[in-house]
Amino acid sequence: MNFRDLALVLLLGLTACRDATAPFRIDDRGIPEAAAIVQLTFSPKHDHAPAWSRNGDSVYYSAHGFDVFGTRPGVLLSVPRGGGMAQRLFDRLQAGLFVPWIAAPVVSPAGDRIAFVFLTQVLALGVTCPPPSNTLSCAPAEPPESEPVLVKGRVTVRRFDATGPLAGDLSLDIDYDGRDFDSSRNPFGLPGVELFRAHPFQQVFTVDTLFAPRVSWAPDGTRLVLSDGLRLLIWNVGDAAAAPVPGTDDGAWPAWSPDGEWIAFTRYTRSGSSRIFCTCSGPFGITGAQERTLWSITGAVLTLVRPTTGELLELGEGEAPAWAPDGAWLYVRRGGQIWRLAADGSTAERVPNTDRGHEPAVSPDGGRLAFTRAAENGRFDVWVVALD
Amino acid sequence: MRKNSPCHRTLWAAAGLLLTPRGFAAWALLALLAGTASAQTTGSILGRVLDGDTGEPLAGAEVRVLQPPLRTIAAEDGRFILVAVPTGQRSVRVERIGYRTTTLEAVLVRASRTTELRVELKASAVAIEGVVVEGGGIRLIEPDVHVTHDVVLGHELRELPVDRMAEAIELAPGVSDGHFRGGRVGQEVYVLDGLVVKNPLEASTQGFGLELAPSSLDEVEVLTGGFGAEYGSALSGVVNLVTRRGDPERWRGRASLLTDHWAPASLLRGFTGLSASAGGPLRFLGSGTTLFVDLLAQGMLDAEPRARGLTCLEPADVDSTFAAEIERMREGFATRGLHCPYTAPALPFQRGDKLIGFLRFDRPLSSELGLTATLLRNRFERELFTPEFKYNRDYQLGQRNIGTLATLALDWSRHRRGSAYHVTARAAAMRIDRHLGALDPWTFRDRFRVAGFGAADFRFLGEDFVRRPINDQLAEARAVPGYLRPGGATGSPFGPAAEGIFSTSGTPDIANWSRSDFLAADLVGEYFSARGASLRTGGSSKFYRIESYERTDSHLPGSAPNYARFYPATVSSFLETRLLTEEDDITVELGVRLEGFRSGLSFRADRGDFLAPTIDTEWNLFVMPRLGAAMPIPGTRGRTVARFNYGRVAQPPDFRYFLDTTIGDSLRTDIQRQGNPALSFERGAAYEVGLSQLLGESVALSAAYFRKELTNLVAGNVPLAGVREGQFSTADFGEVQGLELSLRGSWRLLTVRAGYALQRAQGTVSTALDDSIGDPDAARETLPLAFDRRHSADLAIFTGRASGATARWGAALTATVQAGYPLDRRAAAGDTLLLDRPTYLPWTAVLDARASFELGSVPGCARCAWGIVADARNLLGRENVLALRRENGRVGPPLEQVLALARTQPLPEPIPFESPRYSRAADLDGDGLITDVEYQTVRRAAALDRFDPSLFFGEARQVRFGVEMTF
Repeated sequence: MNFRDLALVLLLGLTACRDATAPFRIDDRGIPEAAAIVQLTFSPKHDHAPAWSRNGDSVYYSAHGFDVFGTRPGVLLSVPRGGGMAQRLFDRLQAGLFVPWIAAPVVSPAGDRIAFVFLTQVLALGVTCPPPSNTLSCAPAEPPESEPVLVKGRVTVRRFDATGPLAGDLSLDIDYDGRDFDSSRNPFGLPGVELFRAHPFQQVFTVDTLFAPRVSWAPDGTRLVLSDGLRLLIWNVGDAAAAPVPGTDDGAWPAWSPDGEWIAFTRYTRSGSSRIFCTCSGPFGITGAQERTLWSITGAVLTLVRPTTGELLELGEGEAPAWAPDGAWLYVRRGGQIWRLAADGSTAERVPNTDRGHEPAVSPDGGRLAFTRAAENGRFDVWVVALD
Repeated sequence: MRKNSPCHRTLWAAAGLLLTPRGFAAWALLALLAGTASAQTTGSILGRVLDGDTGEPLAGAEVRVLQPPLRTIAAEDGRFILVAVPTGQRSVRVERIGYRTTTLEAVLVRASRTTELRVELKASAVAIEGVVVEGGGIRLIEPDVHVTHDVVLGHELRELPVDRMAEAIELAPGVSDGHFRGGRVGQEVYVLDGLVVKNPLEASTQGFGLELAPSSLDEVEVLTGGFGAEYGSALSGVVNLVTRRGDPERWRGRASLLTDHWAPASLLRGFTGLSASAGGPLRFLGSGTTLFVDLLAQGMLDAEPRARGLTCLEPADVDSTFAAEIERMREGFATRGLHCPYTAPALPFQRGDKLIGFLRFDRPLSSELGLTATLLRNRFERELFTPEFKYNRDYQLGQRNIGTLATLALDWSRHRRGSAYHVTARAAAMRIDRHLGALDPWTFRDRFRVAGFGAADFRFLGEDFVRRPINDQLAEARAVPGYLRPGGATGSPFGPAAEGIFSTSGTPDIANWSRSDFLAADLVGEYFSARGASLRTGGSSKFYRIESYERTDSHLPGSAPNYARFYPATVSSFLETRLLTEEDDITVELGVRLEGFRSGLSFRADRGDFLAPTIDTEWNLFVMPRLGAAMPIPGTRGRTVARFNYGRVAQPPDFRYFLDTTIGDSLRTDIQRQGNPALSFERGAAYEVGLSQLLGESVALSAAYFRKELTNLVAGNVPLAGVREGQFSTADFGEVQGLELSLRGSWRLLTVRAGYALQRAQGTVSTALDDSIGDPDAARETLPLAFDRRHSADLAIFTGRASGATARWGAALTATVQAGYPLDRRAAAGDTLLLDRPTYLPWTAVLDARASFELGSVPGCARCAWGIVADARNLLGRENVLALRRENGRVGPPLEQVLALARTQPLPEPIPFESPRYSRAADLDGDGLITDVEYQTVRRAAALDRFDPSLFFGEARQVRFGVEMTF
């Protein structure tokens, strides 16, 4: 090839190969994949209950208020484990005006289903009196600020490829103890007295909206362990009722071990109760009465129960336990941060960078730990930290 | 309006016959009988044969043009006339018994012009070999021509640094940016091989509608004053285009490939052009049968070079308060990234391509009758950069124009001693189809392209749907398929703060198309005497079918389109005579032209009253006298020539004014008006006087003063009788006057053309103020017309083979210096007039150059040669501001306008990092939350970015290189 031919080829090559100005490409979420710790969510409201997708690429969580949903609580979201754009897990389930409060998502061992609790009734604890009442009087002390109280929930198992309404999913209704109406007591000629019982799990929910009665899959994918706030229950998915697990009073935060032998949970210990009696009064006299019973939480004990035998094993302080995939380790909240404990109780060590951490969840490969952390404003966000 | 009347159905059924060859021939014959009008595509040779020794006239000499063969005999006084001579350089042979045969080579013949020859034969007692002499070349002054015109010859066109025919036309004095002598775009007419062609629907916005490659033209003549009675439907100018025909002797061709893809990013506009043409004999069809074909393919990665990129507003573009805001943004640690977040020297979504194919077939049917058929098809398409869709990767706006023109001409001539007859009959069919809408993403993602050029047409979303019968569309009441609600902001660098400012999702909302078809026929008969007198007459008729469709809110189901189909028609006829005084020194042309048009629409003047009577539009007729005279000044030995001309001119308004539309009229008020099918002609009267002086033997200087009064221009209305408020009327009027100087110089290796125009174009605003109802005069205000360039100067220098010389190299340089347009400060919307006197934009200057050098022959092809070409545009790199904002006379908007766009409700909730709406650029403190303060700050930046000034500048600097091959 002579110079002339070469020049022609070069010219043609230049002509054919250069392309137009590239359109704008935005890439403003570039958190390094290898970062030791990543803040996944920055929501000004609570983000709770992180759970890993089956392949470990994403973290599912329950957000209070997100995007177009404004202040709606319990929107079920998925976010890439390295950070980035969150998306609703079920577009059609949570769209428009109807946004059910969904808590505690957890993926089935086979990865084809997800279990969560649909909080069907959550009431605000009424410390303000309804009209025409205009005065609230309590004795012997003023009650805490108004926060929601759990009343009813529905454990739901939904296939990832489901498109129908929630009503078509396998579910189990749960009544959480905490609110009653005592019509046998008629002070001031009223028809009854409204009773509120602030059990430990209700207090946890009231203060931080932490959903302690969460669910956990058995490794065989046929059963779920859950809590009604006062004890653990095992539900054969699809049955009409769940069976209580003996010896798990005040048990919450259940977590089934990978080998199916043990269920880890947190037993809240409580001291004696105190009562506050409140009345609402207005121009026509007293129009309502409430009685609140509060217990003091004295501890959170990490406990293992063997569901087949009822054998119990206490491993010291520990809240919201999570199993490592190999079943050798448990990750719990202890002393305001995440700890790693040997399942036999022989070893305990702090997980670095997990100050103020809660709700740990270990990735399927065991290499990462998702957890929630309370920010300075008290609101929880989801973080991911690399494990050694 | 009445659609599909029986009359129209019959007409279009007849038109359908054109699809068969027999039908087309029958229709062409019918057209011949109907009569028509057109300009000439050939020229004539007028001369006198004299005895070289005695100077006495020689009667009986035979004068012949060799190709194509034409022959006549000199009259008693030695005079002869040859008509129907194709343009270009011709050989003329003169023979007479007893005299040595003389052949004049390279006699330049030009369309519609007469080449004068004086032939002296030497006596010879015996037959000996003839002599060859150089024929007549370019005439620097023309004693017999009373018009103002400028001509670019074919060999010049091929060497000029131009991509489009329009760029060559710009070199004529008095033409700038498509405005001829201060007229609005569309006030000119294009005459293609004698056939008047115009974009009837929207010439004022879309221009000609057809385009020819410069390499397919033999000659471009631009007339800006004194055009004769043969030219109609033009107020300001005529462009006479003569296409090339194949060489009857042998095949010749030329191909070139130019590109700027090698250039650095700052110079890259992504231009690649392939031009190829070839023409030669088709001997198997008989002697003299020729074919010429031309193909132009251009790919453009940045199809709008009038941009300085996506650079957003700089402090210098805006007032001081606004500038301080921008400075603050640029200097702030967190906000500096918000200024010009996306800049590039070229624009994305500006890609496009152009494809022009032309074919011309010439065949002599007898010694006196010739047939010419041409087929032109062009396609121009481009993605349209729209600031609001700047960050939308999926959907963009695009436009595609496809034009097709087929013509058939029969040319009959008969020469007699001292006279000649010439009759031309033409028939033509044309379609101009324009589509504007949201592009199917396939177009810019998957369409196969090489260097920006793609063979496949652009695809548009829902094109099939919007071209379906309108009743079907309405019955379905659905959104245009594929159209999505525009909106969103995710994907822009401003994130949610850009909502309502940028649309990063959905499609542009408009679907718009128009189609103009016409069938035309014309017939021209001419008589010429060898003394130079002539009589010409002819007529033309055109039948149109116009369709116009526009749908906004195309994503909404059931949004109704504006649609119209109607059948206008035009007719014209003319009579023109050319007379010479006995001494041949004064040439006078007298002519009269009749034009008529009919919109073909029926309508109710009051749409609010469905009982109002329906009005059928009538024929509009207008008679236009034309007069011109030219003469050499006595005592100057023909070196000084004076000329004068006067004429009434008229053109039908753009047909789109019959329909509801928004226009930028002659005063750029951008008014939206109700269509008025009863509009009459836009009219004018023009006269000019001129003087030409030959300086030495190689330079001529010409001066002309002209004055043009334009009346009945389409405008918003004044409350005139019979016209409803808010409806188009023809009530604007204006006046243009000016002085033009031009210089022509011609030497052996150099041709120089220079021109200067001083003009003043003023219009009278007829749009009424509210308080002037009933007294229109009270509202009238005289202002400079929007295209009133006071000064413009052009220079073109041709050297080497560009000047017509035989050389291995050629170069052409063009320069243009122009005063700026008036800055119109009236409000962009509505009719409110801020009656301050406009100021003028700064001057612009452009210097372009092209050079070529032949390197040698091509191996394996003895007759082939190849060389290299360099082509540079806007060598000076001047910015050349073409327009400024009316509100403040600057490139950038007032600060209040940006703030108004940015103004929004506070955020109800901060936007967290994991939200799809989150953008790091908007999270100025990097805490993972976009707060209200951040939101508002970024929103201002987004609004600023939306006002990028991309299209206010002249052509960007470009440099191209390429290769060229000839054979």
